[in-house]
Amino acid sequence: MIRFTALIAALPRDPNALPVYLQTISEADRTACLALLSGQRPKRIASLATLTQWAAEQAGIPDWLLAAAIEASGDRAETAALILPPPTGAPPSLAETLHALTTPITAHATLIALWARLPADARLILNRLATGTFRATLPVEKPAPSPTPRTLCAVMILVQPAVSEITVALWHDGGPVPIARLALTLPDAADILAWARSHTTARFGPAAQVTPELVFEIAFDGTTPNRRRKSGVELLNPRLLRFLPGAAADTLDTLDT
Amino acid sequence: MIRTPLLTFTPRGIYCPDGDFYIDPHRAVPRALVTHGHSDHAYRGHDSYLCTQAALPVIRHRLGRIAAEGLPYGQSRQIGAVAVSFHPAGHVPGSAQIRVERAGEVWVVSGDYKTEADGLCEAFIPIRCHTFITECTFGLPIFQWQPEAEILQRIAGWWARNAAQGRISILAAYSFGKAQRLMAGIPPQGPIHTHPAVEDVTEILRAQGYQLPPTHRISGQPVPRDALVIAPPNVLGNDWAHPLTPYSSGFASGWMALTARRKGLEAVFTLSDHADWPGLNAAIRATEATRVFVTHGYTQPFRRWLESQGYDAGIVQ
Repeated sequence: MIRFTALIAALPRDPNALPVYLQTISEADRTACLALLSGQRPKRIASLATLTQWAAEQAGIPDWLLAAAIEASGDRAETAALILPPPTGAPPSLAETLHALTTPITAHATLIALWARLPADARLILNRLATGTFRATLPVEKPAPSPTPRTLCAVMILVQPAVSEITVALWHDGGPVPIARLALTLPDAADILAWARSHTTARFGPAAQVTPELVFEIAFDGTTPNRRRKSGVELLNPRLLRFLPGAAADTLDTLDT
Repeated sequence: MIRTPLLTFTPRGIYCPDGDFYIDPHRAVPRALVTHGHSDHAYRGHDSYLCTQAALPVIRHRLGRIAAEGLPYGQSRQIGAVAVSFHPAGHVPGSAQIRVERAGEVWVVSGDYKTEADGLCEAFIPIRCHTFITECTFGLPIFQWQPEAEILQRIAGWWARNAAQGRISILAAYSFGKAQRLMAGIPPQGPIHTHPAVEDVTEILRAQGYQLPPTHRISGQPVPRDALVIAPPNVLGNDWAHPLTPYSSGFASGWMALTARRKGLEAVFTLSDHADWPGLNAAIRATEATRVFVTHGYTQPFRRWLESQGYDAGIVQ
């Protein structure tokens, strides 16, 4: 499972990862891997909610703390993988894992036994296999060497200081429309958070609404329509480029551009 | 007689009425005690600064001409009616917890801290106290670090693979602390070149006697293809890195534990300068404090967790 976990992580970027894996892994794991990647997945043995509940019980974590952890991670299968204690046993192979999942004595006992032998990143793959949510991205072609990113200027409207995240917006019909939530990974992050503290207009739980004044340059790889967003579009792979001190918030790009 | 609490929480930051000083205040104050040199703890504009001797050079470098004094770790200083002392926090070189004592009552302010020793900065030492004020940046059970040596070995493997393919390895890391921890800890696979912002701090720490490997400041000269380049995170999005093409970029941070935080990044390594969930819990137990205030992070769930563990727990407001 350790090698297979590394393979799944490398697949989207490294076209050599799969051939190297297949040449250097056991016969049983090669067969299992090819079956998985061609879409033959094991039947799910537990729902995502049930599996997460079992992991929390195993880790001694109460429901309310599990809920906070899921909110922070944004992913139940990942939360379940991360809250468990470190492994104590030797890791099972991919074939052994799939065999256990297809012939479970009980789903609960099978998962507990496998969790105890896998590190967190491999537990995540296991959790996806066990809940029928495993998807692998096969490299169709060599990725372009450097995709030309597009940029836009947007204003900060919300701050989550605890997790260093900001929400930025564009003007539309005279008001700000949120366009992306971004990790605040700039060197001036501390100054920006300090500014936010003294320019907070409302609080929503951990989020602080701030006066729309600070402008940031955002890079993204494209857009895709999304009706669940107020803006109607979702930015692909948005990231914060830089803070533009002194930029006027009324000279932003608009949603139309 | 009811005495005022030893430390109080004010809009300017944590305040000690009996010593008339603030700890890591985020607005200008007459007297600031500062836990370490990161800019969200050592703010500009105070009339005077007191920190550890080891933290002082970087704080002066970042803040320019300031009235500042450095105390050796563990040395006690009487300020008004209280005694204060600084103790290693294991976060970055020179970082400290601040102990405040008045007539046998002891409070400790953790600042930022990391419980696992990293071989570069002064290792965290738990300080016995009645009341502990702790950060909780990673105060949720989803944050459990793997041993540092495993992560550093993984970074070395990434560096070696890039070098074999003729690609420079650019590792993004905060210029003070993480950058030096990485250069000191990663098993070398080639030369190390540094962004000027990283090299400025590296030179200061080297002059202080911290054991750091040789590094080369990048200033236009060609960088060998087998080099590791350590630079602040913002360079990954701008033109600075362009002359280093072809390169592979990596990012080392505790936040990399979460898939949602890895979007758009190439190689990620979960390596933090903060305590993880087991580290926070162990550190709090080791202080033997009965009352704990939490700050900086997942304060609400972490406070509730501590209360469920039997502590008198509150949030620094």
